[in-house]
Amino acid sequence: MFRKLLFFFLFLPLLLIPINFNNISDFEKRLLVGFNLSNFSSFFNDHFPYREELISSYIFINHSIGVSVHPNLFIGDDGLLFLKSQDNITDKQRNIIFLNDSKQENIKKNLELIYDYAEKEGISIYFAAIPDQQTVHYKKLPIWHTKLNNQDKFNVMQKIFKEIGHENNFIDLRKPLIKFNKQNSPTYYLYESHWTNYGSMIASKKILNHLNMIDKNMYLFKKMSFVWPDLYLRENLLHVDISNLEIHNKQLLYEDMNEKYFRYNTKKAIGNDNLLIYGDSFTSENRNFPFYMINNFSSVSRVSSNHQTLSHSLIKIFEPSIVLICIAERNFFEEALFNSIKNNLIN
Amino acid sequence: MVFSSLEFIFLFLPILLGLIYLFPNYKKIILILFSVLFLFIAEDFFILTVSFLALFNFLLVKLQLSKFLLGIGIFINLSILFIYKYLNFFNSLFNFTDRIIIVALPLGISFITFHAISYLVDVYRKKVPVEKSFSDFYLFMFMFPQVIAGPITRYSNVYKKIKILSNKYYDLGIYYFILGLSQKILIADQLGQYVDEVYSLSVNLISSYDSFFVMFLYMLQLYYDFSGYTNMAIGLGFFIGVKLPINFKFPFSSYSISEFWHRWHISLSSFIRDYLFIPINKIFGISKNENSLRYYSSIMFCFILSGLWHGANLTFVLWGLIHGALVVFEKALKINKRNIFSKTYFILALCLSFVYFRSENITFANNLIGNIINFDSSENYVFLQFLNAKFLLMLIASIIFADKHYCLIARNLLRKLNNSKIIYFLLIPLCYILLNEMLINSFKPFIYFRF
Repeated sequence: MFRKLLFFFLFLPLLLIPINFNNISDFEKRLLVGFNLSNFSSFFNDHFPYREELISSYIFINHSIGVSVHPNLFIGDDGLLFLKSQDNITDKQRNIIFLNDSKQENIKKNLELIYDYAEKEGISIYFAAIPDQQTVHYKKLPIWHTKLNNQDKFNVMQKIFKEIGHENNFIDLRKPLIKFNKQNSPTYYLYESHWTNYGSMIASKKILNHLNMIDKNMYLFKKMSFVWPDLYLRENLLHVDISNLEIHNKQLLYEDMNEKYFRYNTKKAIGNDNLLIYGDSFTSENRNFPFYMINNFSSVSRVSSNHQTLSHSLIKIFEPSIVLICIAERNFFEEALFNSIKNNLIN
Repeated sequence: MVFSSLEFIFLFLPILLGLIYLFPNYKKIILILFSVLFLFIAEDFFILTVSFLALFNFLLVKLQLSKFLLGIGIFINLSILFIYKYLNFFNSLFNFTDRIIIVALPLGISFITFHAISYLVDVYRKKVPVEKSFSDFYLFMFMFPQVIAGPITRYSNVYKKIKILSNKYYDLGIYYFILGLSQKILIADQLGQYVDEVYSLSVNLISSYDSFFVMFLYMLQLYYDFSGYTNMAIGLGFFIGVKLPINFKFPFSSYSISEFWHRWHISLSSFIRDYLFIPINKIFGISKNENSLRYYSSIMFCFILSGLWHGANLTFVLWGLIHGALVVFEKALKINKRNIFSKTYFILALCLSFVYFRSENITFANNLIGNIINFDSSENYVFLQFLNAKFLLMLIASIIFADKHYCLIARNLLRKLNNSKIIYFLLIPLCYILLNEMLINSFKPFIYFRF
């Protein structure tokens, strides 16, 4: 009898398991692992039946007792969920000097070469460091975490740009995103590391102001409601409704294995410049970031820094007059970033 | 594929049990095929090498096993182990060739060679008959529950059961499997997060507090990880009809390192005792428990080899040396009292020695131990990150269940619950938690897979 029970409980449900072969999940910002015998374990894990529902409910239970379920996440005050970053946790405690003199010198050298290239090609290149969620919600960091707003980091970078005579080419997004971060309209999500659509709009306003452009956009705000199991993945926040935005032209310029890259423009546009946004997931179309700029430029394109390098050939394809490099803080303040951009543009 | 992976629990195991249920007459063939598949998934074509090794050992004993042939057999088995596990290590020590030797360490090689040696020696000692069926011998060598991380199974303990493969103990199998899975997922992996976090830091960035806590928590992690794996293996053994040996008997209930080795990784310590220590003493005419340098030397030698068996690294050799020295110290001074002082000595000696076991190199281990008394080491307090309800609950549970007294109370309670059938209602949330922990922490290899 027991054998029969075991058989029915273990074997038959297996045949009925509705494995989901879809590689795209709203749940995670990565592509799920496709079917591959050599990596079957990851595939099976990623496509396990009811995976999203199970994990979501589990996060809900754990989070409600103040426990982070993932080793790479930690919980701050009021239940905020942060991505763990070892450097941020202990920079001060470890007495690590951020960007020492030799690193700063290397960044300067690379930036000078980048701006020589820009001058030769007749383009303007701007760098914008997108603050991390920990920097914006720094007051909510847990007691054991050093509560830094990372002012020093941004100041050091501002100084580097000033010393090479390009002070205006560094855009500090940190201040407005912290200033406008309110309890009922957060600029960053509470449970994941990106900015909200509202935060994305605040950043775009800052960039337009920095470029001496007047923001011509009028967007509506509306409250979006999400229901369980999305409860701990997204929040009930102010979302920006861009449905009144008219995009008259959407031209596919380039595509790679992961994404398609378009050039957008509207008839209402008042600018003459072609803007190329080179940035990580913060700047994606899903977060409306390119669309907040669209009325001020002749055209706007966006290329993912996660999948593409900013090379000379890419510049030739998109033919921008302005390049806006937007990288998250955790990757921005690295000597290697500037070295890599220089190498890819010049070589 | 590890026992605590989703594909093992929801694919491999149900298909295996389903086929055994549908075709009971072909059980042995099914088990061999699944064992080969299991090792193939883990180590690709290494299965061919060890299959030849199995064939060699099987045929060797057919030739009237003399002392000379036994020596040849042990030499060949140890040579395979040496090539795969120690060639790079000894080359790095003695630099006998400039050529880069790339030999990947296959999972389970240490266990497979010990299975083979136990068979040869037991046949030579006429403890067991010569196996006539190659399929039975092959199953003994590569039976999937014990092939990768033990317990080290002796042919004399299992050959009769392999012939019958009667599986009347499904309920015991489920009990042991879920117990082992819970130990691994709910305790070892949780404690492991803290341990890994501390050990990932540069040693000068580890605070005194973390250096102190991590040596205790690593010991608990290692125990629950390895004991959890063994319990899962035992549970799987019950599923297929083979009773595998118990490997742990509450090791932290010990009061000395000598006692600890009667309770920790029993299948290894008894293997070394029976196949190395006793024969050495016999050869050199050393009597049991004699108070002589020769006797203590043979203890030290066995512990150093035991250390080397755990890994091709000087840290393991030093770890074995420390344990050997402590056992000699205890025997020489006849330390066998069971009081608070001996308990404190035991816990401290054990946890400090296992710092060498966990560390990548001896310098790191020395500095970590030095950090404990150096209160200026660092103000980076990793343990503060883990002060949450879940971690503390698991820590308390890990301490309670490591104690024989409390564990027996819990076991009796479990037995009463089992009789009242409430157990089924408790199993549902337990399985839900286990499943989710597996989904979130998709892959964490067992610590003992390295050995």
